[in-house]
Amino acid sequence: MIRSDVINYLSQLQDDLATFNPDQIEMVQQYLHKTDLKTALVGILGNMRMDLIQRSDETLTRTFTVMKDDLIAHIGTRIARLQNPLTSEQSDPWIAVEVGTNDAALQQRCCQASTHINDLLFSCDEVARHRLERGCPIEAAEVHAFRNDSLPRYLKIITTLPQRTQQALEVGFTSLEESLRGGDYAKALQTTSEIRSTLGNISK
Amino acid sequence: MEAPNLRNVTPEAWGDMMGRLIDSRKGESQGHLYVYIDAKQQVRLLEAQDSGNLTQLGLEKLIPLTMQIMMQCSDQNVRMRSHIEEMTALLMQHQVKPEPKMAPKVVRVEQQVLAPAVGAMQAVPHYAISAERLDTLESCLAANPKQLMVTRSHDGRDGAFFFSHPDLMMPRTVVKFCFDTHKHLLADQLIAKFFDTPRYESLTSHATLGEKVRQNVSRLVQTPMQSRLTAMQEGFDGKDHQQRLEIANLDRITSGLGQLVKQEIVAARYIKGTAFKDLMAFDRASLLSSPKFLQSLGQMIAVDTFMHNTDRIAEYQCNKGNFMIQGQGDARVLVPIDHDFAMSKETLPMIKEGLTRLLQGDGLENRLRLLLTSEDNGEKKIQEMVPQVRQGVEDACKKLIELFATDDDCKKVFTVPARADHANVDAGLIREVVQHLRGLL
Repeated sequence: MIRSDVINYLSQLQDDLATFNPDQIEMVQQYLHKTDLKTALVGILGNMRMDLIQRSDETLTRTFTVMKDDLIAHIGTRIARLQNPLTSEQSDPWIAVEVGTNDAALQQRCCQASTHINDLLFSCDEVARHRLERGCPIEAAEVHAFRNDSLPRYLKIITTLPQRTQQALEVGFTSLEESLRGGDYAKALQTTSEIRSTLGNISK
Repeated sequence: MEAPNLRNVTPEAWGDMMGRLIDSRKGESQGHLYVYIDAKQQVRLLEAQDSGNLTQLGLEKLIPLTMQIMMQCSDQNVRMRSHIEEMTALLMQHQVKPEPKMAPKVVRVEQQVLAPAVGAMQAVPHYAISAERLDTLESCLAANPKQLMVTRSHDGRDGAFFFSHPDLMMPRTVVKFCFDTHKHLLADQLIAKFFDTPRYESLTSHATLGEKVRQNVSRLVQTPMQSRLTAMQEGFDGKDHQQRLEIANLDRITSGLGQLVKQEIVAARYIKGTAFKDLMAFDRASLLSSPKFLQSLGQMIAVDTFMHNTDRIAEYQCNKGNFMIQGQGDARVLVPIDHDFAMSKETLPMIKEGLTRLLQGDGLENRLRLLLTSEDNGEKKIQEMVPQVRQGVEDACKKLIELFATDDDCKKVFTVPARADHANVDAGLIREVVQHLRGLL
């Protein structure tokens, strides 16, 4: 898909999330995949939104609002990153390859790897930070699928990556999945931080 | 035998009643029967066309009511006997009858009148729609069909359909099917004097654009919604109540849509807001403490009573999906949607009585009670809300008197360009109601 189209969809998503009424849950689900945003948070937020029609729970309302705003901000960062990868605050080896090559296909694959990892870590952070019991198995399943299907493909893009770094990432994601399955929020947060740090060190 | 009550009538009893009604209209029994409802919501099938204080329910009301009642019924055989198709056929047959000559006091709403808030109206055969809406909808339907997005509102008796095309970065258009588009448009014109409204416009389903809209809505039901229903039915173990409700809802939508798309179409701009019923409980509680909102609520109740629009906050029934809240915090505003202008000779006594009672403060508590949930701190809250709502009622009644100071004012208020053959307002009736209001204030 053309990058400008993805940016259009992301802007629309931001707009819909700002109100996010039950009619918009269906709309957002229809075009979410076109944004290339790899997060289960939209579904989690949709369920919370429906619960909050009945439940007058101040804490849950605040959690929902903060998470929704975090997601809107995350999408804003994504739009900026798609517009110019050099301005990204994110640091990982795929960005380094993306900005250093003129090969459009390679750039596309690097962008996909980098944004996917970023989305996944963001979602896990949100679930752990807000201690969302119902979100844990969903995110654990996302990490599991990522670890088995996507990570091996993404690692192959960076041909110079040392074996021990690859292993560190595989161990990190396995640990993240386990902490989410066990509902160990502190450990999950610590693990996402460690993974980010590992990725940052590689790109230096 | 005691008359069934609308609140708890069984689908079987309702189906039987509708069957008798249809038979009477086919001439298979002695005289024509009519459905009436009393103040306690008891439903009667009577021969007389004028039955005192009872309110007659026409086919246009009975069809959606039947859909709603049948939705609660899981028995396919009972649903098959709901007679919706026959009622729709009868209504369509009734609608194509030549229009009776208008009395001289009727103000005919002219075609192609400019509605300043909407912009110049474009004269297109078979429908009247603003250039902006026409452009949005046509572009949406003409662009890459694979990217066209049509979704249905998650709730609602007939539901609304949202058309958008993310490639175009154009605003969404809301489309609804209904029998009396002119009533919708007239009501919208009056309400627009008080609130920001969706600005309904009309197009007929047999015009080219209407046909395209209809096809896309049918496609939505035939494919994604039907597949979802089949998948849910296959995996349903009969235990989960929420899932049961969703299956019933999808079943109702997919089976009822065949009839729905035969109706006329109204299109409107998309409101970025949330229906009152879908507000988060926490937001709802804070809204019900806002004097500004409560006064708006009073205004809406008064205007609805004035035009006999009963599908919002009537005294004994409340449709919390027919008004939206737009904006955040103190900037939140009320946006009424889905309304009908139903002032007629028949409804006139009820309108006068309704306005009298409202201005005396009667019936407000009942209405507010319907609006609140058990979580909203009931009775105490109602007592706090009543004065503000009553203030809104009074303000709106004064404004209505100003709006219709002379008979000519009707033409200024009702500048609906759509379907001039249908769109008419009886200025004499409006004058009578306004005189009644003057006497009350």
